[in-house]
Amino acid sequence: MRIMRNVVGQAVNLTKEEMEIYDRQIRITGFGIEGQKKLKSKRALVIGIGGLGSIIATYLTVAGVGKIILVDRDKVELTNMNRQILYNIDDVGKAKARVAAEKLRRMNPYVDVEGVVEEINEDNIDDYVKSVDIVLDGLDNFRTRLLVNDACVRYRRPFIHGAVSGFNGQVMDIIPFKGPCLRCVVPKEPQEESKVVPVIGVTSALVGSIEALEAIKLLTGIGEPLVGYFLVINGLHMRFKTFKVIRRPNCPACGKGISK
Amino acid sequence: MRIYVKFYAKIRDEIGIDHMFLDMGNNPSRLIEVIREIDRRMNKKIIEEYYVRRRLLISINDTLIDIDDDILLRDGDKIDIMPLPSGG
Ligand SMILES: [Zn+2]
Repeated sequence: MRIMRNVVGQAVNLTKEEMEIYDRQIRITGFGIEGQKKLKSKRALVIGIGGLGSIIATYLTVAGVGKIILVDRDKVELTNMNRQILYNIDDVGKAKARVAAEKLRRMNPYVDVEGVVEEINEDNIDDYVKSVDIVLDGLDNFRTRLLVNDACVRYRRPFIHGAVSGFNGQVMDIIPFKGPCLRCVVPKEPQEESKVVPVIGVTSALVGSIEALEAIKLLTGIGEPLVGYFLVINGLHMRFKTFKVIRRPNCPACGKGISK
Repeated sequence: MRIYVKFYAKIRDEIGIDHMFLDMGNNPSRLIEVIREIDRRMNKKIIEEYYVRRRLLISINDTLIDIDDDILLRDGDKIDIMPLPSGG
């Protein structure tokens, strides 16, 4: 594994061109130049660059997050095309992380995008999580999601969870020890759906952009994050419902006595 | 006691209805008893399958619960049962 630790300087300045690129969001009340500088000083990790990750990475890039690390071991396949909008048909067979990083750098050359072709596992997750300010879920299974959740709890990094199936999706922000974590909702690994999860691209886009929005809020410190709540989206009937989530004293990851 | 149960997404499709009212007798019922009662009513073993495979989320009165908790349901409780999506 190679994570290049670009020091994203604290004394961040915006060039004239950057001021123009980000003009429309800098104009948002409460966001401003300060918000833009904060984004530029932050590092985000996107794990999985499929349907969710394509959207997450794209919007974090155009928003101007300073450094974005993309991790995915897979190659582009034809069956990705209905939702993984970072790839073109002629990218089939190429490593997603490389194709995605190259496209995103062209989209916004002011963002340092790094693509790593690697599988996330017990041995490498800690180093990834430690090196960033926020982690975003672009994964397709709960085994790895729980692994990522636990590392984020260990190193106190915010983790934005998202998942999709069909026309349905869900999102939850995890700020370790300030609110419940993913294991407070899903304590143990569920039996997976079949390897092939049916999904339409718009669902991934919907959930992915909510994840990116939550990350932008947390990185700039504006708004109210989806902490302690669990958003369930039913696209087919167009209902958004928010459930409460309680931090469990007996949570295997963030429960009392586990760590603090 | 009467409990309101609402189903979501694939579970709703499989069970074929949006919601139901369950009459559970006079005593508070355990969650697994409620799940079995739903399946018994529908003549299909659907919810228990999802439950055993941990492939669902359950909310009681708008708060998600740990499905391993031994929870007693009471008169007037509202349960939401939804499948846990895992795709990305
Ligand atoms: Zn927890």
